[in-house]
Formats: sequence, C-alpha cells, structure tokens
Amino acid sequence: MASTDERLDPAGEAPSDPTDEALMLEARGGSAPAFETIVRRRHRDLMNYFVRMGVSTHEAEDMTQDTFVRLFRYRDRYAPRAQLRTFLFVMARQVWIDRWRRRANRERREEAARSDAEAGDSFSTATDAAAARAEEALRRLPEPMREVVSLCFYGGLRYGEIAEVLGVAEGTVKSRMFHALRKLREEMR
Amino acid sequence: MKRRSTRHPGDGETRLADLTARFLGEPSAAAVPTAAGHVIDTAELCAEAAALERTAETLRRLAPPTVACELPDRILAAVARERALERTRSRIRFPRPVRPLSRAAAVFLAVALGGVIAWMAAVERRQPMNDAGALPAALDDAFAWLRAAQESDGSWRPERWGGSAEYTVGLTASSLLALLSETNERARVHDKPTIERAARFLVASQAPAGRLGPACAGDLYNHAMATLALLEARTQAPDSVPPETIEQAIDFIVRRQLPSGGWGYAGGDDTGANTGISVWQLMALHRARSQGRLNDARSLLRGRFWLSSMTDGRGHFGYRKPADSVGQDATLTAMGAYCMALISDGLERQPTQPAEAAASDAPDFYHWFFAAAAWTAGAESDPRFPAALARNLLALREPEGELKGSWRPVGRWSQAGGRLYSTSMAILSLAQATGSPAPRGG
Repeated sequence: MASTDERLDPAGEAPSDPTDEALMLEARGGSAPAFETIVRRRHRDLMNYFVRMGVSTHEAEDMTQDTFVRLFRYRDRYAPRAQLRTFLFVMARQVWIDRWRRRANRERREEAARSDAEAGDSFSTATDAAAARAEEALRRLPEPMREVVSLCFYGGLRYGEIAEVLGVAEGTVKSRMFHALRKLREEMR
Repeated sequence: MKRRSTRHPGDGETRLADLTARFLGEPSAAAVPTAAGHVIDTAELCAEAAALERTAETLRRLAPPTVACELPDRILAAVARERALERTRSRIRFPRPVRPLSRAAAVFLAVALGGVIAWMAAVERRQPMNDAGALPAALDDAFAWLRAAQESDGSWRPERWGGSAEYTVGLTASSLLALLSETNERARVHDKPTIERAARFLVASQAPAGRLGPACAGDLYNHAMATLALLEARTQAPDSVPPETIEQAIDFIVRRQLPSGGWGYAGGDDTGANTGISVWQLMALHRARSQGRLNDARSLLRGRFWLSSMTDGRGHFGYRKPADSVGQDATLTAMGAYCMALISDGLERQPTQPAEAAASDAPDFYHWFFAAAAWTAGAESDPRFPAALARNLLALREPEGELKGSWRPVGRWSQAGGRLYSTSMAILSLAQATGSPAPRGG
C-alpha cells in the first residue's frame, strides 16, 4: 500500500521547503520566483492528470500552461485557508472542460488518438502488459469515474478535496471511486 | 470468524466503498476496521476488497507521462506575457474618482456600439456576396483558366504569366491547391488528370535531400507549398504521390528547423527565423499530422512555441521578433492568427483586422489569402469580412478575352508570382471565405 504522504505529495516537496500555500501568498504579493517555484513543483501533477483524462501529451502541455496562466490571472481570488492544490485542480478541470470536453466529439477524439499513436505522441506510459491493460481500462472508464480516479491517483487529492473540485458530496466521491475500481478490475481481467 | 449475516443488499457495496477509502488512506475512513476484522464481512467481500486494492496498486504504478524539459520555461513565458498584458491594462484604467461613472459610460457605449455593429453585420449578411451568381461564375472561369494554363509536364510556368521561374514549384503547388479546392464532384472527376500531372511534376522536383524544388534562398517557400499540395493531392489522387516523397519532404522541414523553433532563409542563422517562412512550414507539418504522417510532433510543438513568441501584447505578430512588422502588420498578424488557430484546432483565437484591410488597403492577395484562412480557422475577425473580400476580388478579375477567369497581377508580390500567383491566391481566398472546404493546411 502506498503511504498517505506519498499520495499527498507527488511532487516530492521536502519538509523544509515553503508550502504551496505560502508560495502562493508570496506570488499574490507580486513575487515571480514564488510563482515559478509553484510551476516547477506542480506542472507534472497537472500533466499526469490531463494525460490520464485522455488528452494527448502535446495537448496536455498546452492545458498545463493554460492552467498556470489562469492561476496567475486569478491569484487574487486564492483564499489563504484553501489548499493550493485544490484551487489548482479546480482550474485544471475547467481548462479541461473548456478545451477538450466541449469540442471533443467522437470523430475528433478518434482522429487525435490515431494521429497521436502514429506520431509517437501517445499518452501511453505502459511498460508491461498489466500497465497497458490498466491504461486501456482507464481510458474506457466513464468520465465521472475517471475524474475521481485521476484526481486521486495522479493529482494526489483526498476525497474531500476531490469533492470540492467536482462540486459534489464526499460520499459521491467515495461511491464513484469504489465503482470505478470495480469496473477497472473487471476490465483489466 | 466470518459468517453470512442478514444484511441489506446495499451493505456489501457500502462496506466495500468504506474499505476502498481505507486502503486509499482517507482520514475519514481511518476508523473503519480492516476487512478481516469486520464481523459481517463474508469471504467474498474480503476477496473483493483485496482485488480492489490490487487494482489501485496497478493504477498507482502507472508511470507518469514524459514531460518536456522546456515545459516550465514555456509556462513561465506565457505567464510573463500575461503579466505584461496586465500592466498594459492597468495603464489605461480610469482615474479612481471618475471610475464608476466612466465605467457606466463605457458599458453604455459598448452596448450601443455593439448594437450598431450587430445591425451593420446583419445588413451586410443580407447583402448577397455573389450578386447575380457572380461568384460561382467567377470561380468556374478561374478553374477553366487554370486548367488551360497547365503545361504538358504538369507544371504551371510563372515566366509565361509575368512571374519568376524560381517559383515554378511553389506556384505549381498553389495552382494545384486552388484546383483541389473545387468542390463540385463533376469538376473533381474532370480535373483528376490535371491533378495527377501536377502532383507527378512536384514529386519529380524532389532532390535527394528531400527538398521539393531548387536550392535557393527562399527554398522553404517552394518546399512547404509543394508539401502541402502533395498532402492534399494524396486525398484525391493517391497513386500519384508516393508515401516516401511525403516522408522525405516532412523530414526536410524538420531538419531545417532552427534551434529557436522557427524557420528562415537557407543559410541563415538562428536569428533569421521569420514568421513568413515558418507559418508555411507549420501549415505543412500540421496537415501531415492530421493525416497521421508526422512521426514526431515535437517539431510542430517547437514551431508553435516559437510563433507564439512573435506576438506583442496586442496579439499582433512580428516578422523576426514581436512588434517587428516590417511594414506588413496586417499580413503578419493574419498569418500568425491563422496558424495559431489552425494548429491549436481553433482554440487560440487571435484578433485580426481583415475586413478593414480588405476594404481599404491596396490589393494584396497574400494578405487576403491569410485573412480568409484566419477567418475560416476561427480567428476573431469582422463578420463583414467575406463580403468585403469577395467584392474586392471580383473587381480585380479579368472579365473578358483570353485571360478571362484569371486575376490581374497587381499589388505586393505580383512581380515575383505573376498571374498564377494572383489567380491561385484569389481562388483559395474565395474558396475559404465562402465556405468551400479548401485545403488550408488543416
């Protein structure tokens, strides 16, 4: 079982480093280095989230960029008591909705998947057959379940934070996670 | 220890959801006892909980995606642009004491102005763009002229029509693209031999290095246009374009990309990357990608990054650096806006001013083509643009005589491209602005 700390801090922030929240407060005050630290610390989490949400790596890069630009644009709205990670993923999800889901008709997705696969830009990171099956199963998961799984496993968010990002009750997150894992297990058999 | 209990049917799922939360380290589930220690758990329940935990472990072990090392710098550059934009906005704020009043006035003015513009646009839309069928007839005549002007070897020769022989490959490509924009099915069948001959000429122009066309300073113009035309021709005459020709042509573009991500004239250094040449290469790469023929999308991504670095705070594009308009601000901005919209699938919209330029500027087929392309690709522009463009173009066509159907070679670049240039660009502009699925690199 992975430790709780590992899930909470996928970026590997050392204990002595300033927290994201402290950095964000500095960034709100105009500190460019503080914002840069946040970018360098958290961009991989966002990439991982977008990729697991079914976006190609090159588009995930664009979306990661958009998310940080929005974070910068709306930095004054950040409430110091909130986890920055939650705030960041609320924006990431909005970027995803804006730039992908609304325009992603079936045809476009198929085209993107085909061209990505042919262009070697596929988002597959599988190193063995089990991982490949897991990725494929994740890709086929219904969107609400995939969101919960992606935010939890690849965004490092807790149920309460996921509930906040998605605007649903924590019990809904718990239920979706359970059904998602069950469905994934069936698909991966 | 384990026994079947008289449980509600939903209990098992609730229990499993609790156990899932527990092995995921949820603090709210810390008090939930383990499966083995729970008196109502059945053997099946325990087994399922263990299986779910293994599934979770597999998901956790999935390797993260590869992240380009330049991504943080790219993000920070975008943030820096946003910061610069904020500074610009803050400079034009109203002084605080009058701000509420001024804001109210601004809102009123914006609403009033918006209403007037919407009304004007509606009036403009009601005006037929192709009075008395002038536009379809003009296009029919233009296609006929192009067909007749083709040489027996499949090329179009610029020197016969007031242009320079140096651009034979580029202008054969633009003429081919113009013919390929014809949507009429009968005409497409009729044009197939013309298309095949032109494609074969372009294929035969390929040098061993992969370059299409002769070695010259502006070889990438010829090359990208020819690559684009061959990619497009493959959709209608696949047998006349060998896949390896396309592959080598794409490789050539990738190899010629400068470290900065842009492209420039042959022999130039990294500072020579310019928007004019780069946009054509990006169009070709994008078209290749959409056909699944780009082996490595990084070149496209780097090019896009370079192009986005050419914008100033107002969304205008420079030639070699932001605000470096070299007297062609409208054309460069249309090119950049089009290309950014194209390679971001319409998601990055830059404002352009094509309607004003089409209505008031001196004739410029090159600008009109990119303004039309930007319009089609979804860049922000004036809704009156297609009508203005059609009016201006129809005024420049040859209505009678042996040149009937072609466009007069006037304006910038017509000395180099001649009548083939003006005619092919006019056709492509009209085809795009009036909704024909013209080849436009995407």
